[in-house]
Amino acid sequence: MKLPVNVSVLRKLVQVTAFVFLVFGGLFGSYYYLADKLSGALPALSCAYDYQSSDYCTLITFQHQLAHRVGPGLTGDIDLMSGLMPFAVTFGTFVLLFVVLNKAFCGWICPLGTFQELLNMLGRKLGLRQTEGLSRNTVQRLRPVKWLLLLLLVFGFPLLTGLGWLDHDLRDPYCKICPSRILTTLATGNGGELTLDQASPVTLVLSLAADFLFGLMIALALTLRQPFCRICPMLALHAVFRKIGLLRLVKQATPRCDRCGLCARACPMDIGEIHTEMEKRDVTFDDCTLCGRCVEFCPDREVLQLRYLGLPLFSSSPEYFKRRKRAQLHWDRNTLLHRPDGPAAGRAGAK
Amino acid sequence: MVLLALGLPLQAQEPGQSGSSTATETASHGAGHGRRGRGPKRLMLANGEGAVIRLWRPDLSSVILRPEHGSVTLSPTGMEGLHALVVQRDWGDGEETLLRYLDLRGKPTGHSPRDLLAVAKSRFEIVPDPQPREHRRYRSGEEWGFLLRFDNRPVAGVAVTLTTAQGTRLDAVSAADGSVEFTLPDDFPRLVEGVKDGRSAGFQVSAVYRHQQLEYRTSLDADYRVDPRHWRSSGWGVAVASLGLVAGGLVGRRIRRREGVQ
Repeated sequence: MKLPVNVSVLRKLVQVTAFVFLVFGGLFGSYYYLADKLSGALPALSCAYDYQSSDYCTLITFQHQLAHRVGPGLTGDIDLMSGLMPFAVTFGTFVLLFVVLNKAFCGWICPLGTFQELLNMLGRKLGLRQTEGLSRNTVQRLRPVKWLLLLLLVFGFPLLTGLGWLDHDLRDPYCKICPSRILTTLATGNGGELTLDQASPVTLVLSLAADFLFGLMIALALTLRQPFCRICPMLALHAVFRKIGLLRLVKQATPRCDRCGLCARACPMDIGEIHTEMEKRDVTFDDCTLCGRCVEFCPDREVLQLRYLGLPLFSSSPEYFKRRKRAQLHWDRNTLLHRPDGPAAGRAGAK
Repeated sequence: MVLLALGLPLQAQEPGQSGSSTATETASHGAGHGRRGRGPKRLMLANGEGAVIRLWRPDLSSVILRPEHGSVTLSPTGMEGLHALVVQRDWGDGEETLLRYLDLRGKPTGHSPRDLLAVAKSRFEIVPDPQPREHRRYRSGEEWGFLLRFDNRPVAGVAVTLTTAQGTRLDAVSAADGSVEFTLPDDFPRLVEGVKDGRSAGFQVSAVYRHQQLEYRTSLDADYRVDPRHWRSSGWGVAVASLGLVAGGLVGRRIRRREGVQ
């Protein structure tokens, strides 16, 4: 099937639409959004700190239910079942959504991911020198961070707070440092989250970390693809369930794969294993966001595929690769500041 | 004419108090946990002899409540979302209405809170526009809008007064579309800069409208909280984020040197 636009353009359209829907969705009317009718914990996709949004990010519901329901349920302060049931509902809803989208939430929908991609596009258009990609060593060193954030900040500290062992200000520590909280609230004209909170030593440390991380992410995203995504606990949470998602990245390796590696270069998350994996068919790795760039930049027919329910949605092909490469060269040439050694100088970059 | 008083709308809580057990909505910041219990609520009602007390549910059904010993008990309605408590008293030469919105827990009804706001609950009514929803609260220093309606139509040119528990009084006049805006006064006493203050207090938006020689007096009763900017600094927040930007630039440069550039 020949698409009227390439997958990257299609993805950008979806991302921008999702950004508007998730960040400003609450503005569009009362009857089309659940947040106007339900005020319980309906876990979905966007930030609860954003007053204009349509739903909740699942990470805040996990944290708050651990702190306010599961913890007190385990200590006997409230009935155990009434403590566990909301968490089970959140978990079930997350899994249900996850089965439909798999990790494509990260690559196609997440507002923070979109923001970082747009920043990177801006950096390229401004002619800023780009990091070619992180080395295998750096990638390996970064990978455990998302798991630590998930286990400690999303699950550990909130549960310990609910059990009464930690300060109440640690009931949602991940949200307190999440750059998406600052981004989406700023996007709706609320500067109240980009602050230094002096209420307690805990809030002071968390707000310091959040503000610093927000600035750090912006600067890095101008020259490096998806800097925060690499340590995002949502990516780790998705990785746990990636085997049950209906959308998969599938590889049918050929001997030519040894000599190519364009797929790994195209990957915004620098997943080298997409290139080196020669045995497994399912190459939806932990860090994969199912953005489809590796498929776009694979020059061989049906070596890489995005499959839904086992059916091919999008397959690599030499024809698509040539078109995509031309489009990339055209895109890279149009920068505001030309550098003689930059990508606009004629490298057929898969970046 | 005697004013009705519902809950503790005109009494500020002292620092450290967790809030009233009556209709005063109390909450920790963030997810709203604790602000909407599932159990019964008791509301104090002063000068309410002869008044009709009606609780509107999210599905627009309503029930008459009976006061006992100067208080009204709200039993769980089993419905999730916005409810409206309306106290009305007919004085012969006019009508007095006091209205308070309550967010209660229960099962989702599928009705939007806007349905309840849209329906006329008394002839002369002050309607929050918008109604703080989900995690939002009235906070000092914020501007909030209200609509004046008579027989469910906007009324212009009516004097509106906002009074707070601290005794602050603000006056305004409703615009052509019946709207009026107030910036909630930052009037909590004994505020200490840099120290979190979880106090809440009541405020009332009131107006009087004369129609066919009858006087209609209405009040909207709600709580507001201390402006968090007293312990949250935007300036420092931006400064720290800027520091992050600079650090990001340096880290990015280091990465490019080590890992290569494109």
